[in-house]
Amino acid sequence: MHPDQRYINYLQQNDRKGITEIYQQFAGKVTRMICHNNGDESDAADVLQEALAAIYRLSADGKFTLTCPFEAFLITVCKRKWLNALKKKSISPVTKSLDDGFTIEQHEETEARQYAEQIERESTVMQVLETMGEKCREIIRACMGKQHQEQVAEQLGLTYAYLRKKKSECMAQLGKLVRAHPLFKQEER
Amino acid sequence: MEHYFEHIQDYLDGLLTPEERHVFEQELQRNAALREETNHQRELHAIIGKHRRAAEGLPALQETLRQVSDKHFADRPALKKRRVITWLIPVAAAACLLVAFNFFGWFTTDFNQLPEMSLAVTRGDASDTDYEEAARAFNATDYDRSAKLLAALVQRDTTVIRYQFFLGLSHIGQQDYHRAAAQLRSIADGPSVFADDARYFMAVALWHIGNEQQAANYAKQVTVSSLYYEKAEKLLRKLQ
Repeated sequence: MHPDQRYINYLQQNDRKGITEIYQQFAGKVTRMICHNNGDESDAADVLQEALAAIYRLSADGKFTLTCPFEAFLITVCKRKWLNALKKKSISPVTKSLDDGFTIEQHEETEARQYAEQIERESTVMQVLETMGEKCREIIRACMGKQHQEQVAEQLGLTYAYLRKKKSECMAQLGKLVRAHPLFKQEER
Repeated sequence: MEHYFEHIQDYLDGLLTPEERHVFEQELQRNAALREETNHQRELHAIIGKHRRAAEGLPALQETLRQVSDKHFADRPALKKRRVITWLIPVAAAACLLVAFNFFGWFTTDFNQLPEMSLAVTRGDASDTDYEEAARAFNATDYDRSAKLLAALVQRDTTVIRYQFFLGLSHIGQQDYHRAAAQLRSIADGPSVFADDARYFMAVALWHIGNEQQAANYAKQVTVSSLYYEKAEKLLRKLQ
């Protein structure tokens, strides 16, 4: 485990002092990177907030172990988010290398990139889930909570057998939709 | 693969008997396609479960991030003053147009908008017919009728939170916000799968009653996994 795991813990514990430290340490670098690449300070503030929320989600099960410096991880996530934002705005590629001013070791970069890719995988799954019908979304969300499925069935006014059958159909459909997504298709190739 | 789907879910949910589990695991070893699909489903389970848990703590974290970010960036010298002036005139013009459009109510959020009530028959008993009738009335915005039918269903079976939830929403449709709040409170404060959505409508009911403090408290508790998260945020801004 990298000593920078403490930054992950700050996010998990919603530790204001620790989060302030994250901003003091890294916000300047994120701002520089974005301001040099067609963005401004408010874009940097948005990207940084989104990146920190995404890292929080990735580590929400308490199993995530950081093995590279937090800076490499955070900068990689911010970089990918900013590139996506530029793509959406149809702004031409960056004017300077997004890596300017950062010294990230090769192996650290690989690890950071893997974490960032995992964030994108997870976010894709959740986006695909949002595109499904209301019934499936309701059942999948309800079944993935802490409650026993018999209880869930009762609350939804469904029979337990129907809930299980429907959940299995919805999960199969979700599985197909996720596989058909370009991000997952790319991996299968 | 289709006929395996229920087994995959039961396997991942730990619902198979030891014998069934043994048979399934043997099949997993033999069947590469089944193994791949099971791993894919395992990943989906893990991701959705994790994001659901994350959704509970996310509003509080986002509030901290917003405050720390505002403070951090406010303390720094502004980089963009020149640009701000350049853009000020068109922005002001656009703002005037927005105010004009808003005057006609084109951009206002309908906080009272109610969801569709599913018609699916699922209990396999007499309550299905009444439920369907209630759902038809609700979807046709005949809230007096849906409230009457749902109240009878609630009386008959107090375990189905869906009946209680839509009864509360019917009261919102009737603009009877005191009854809506009374009906939705226990759902919003409870652990059921409707809790999140009930918190939003509880906030709406309390806002109409004029209890803004409590309305804000309920709106704050709506998690990002709720379909009403963005509306709850908008309501919160309105209340503050």
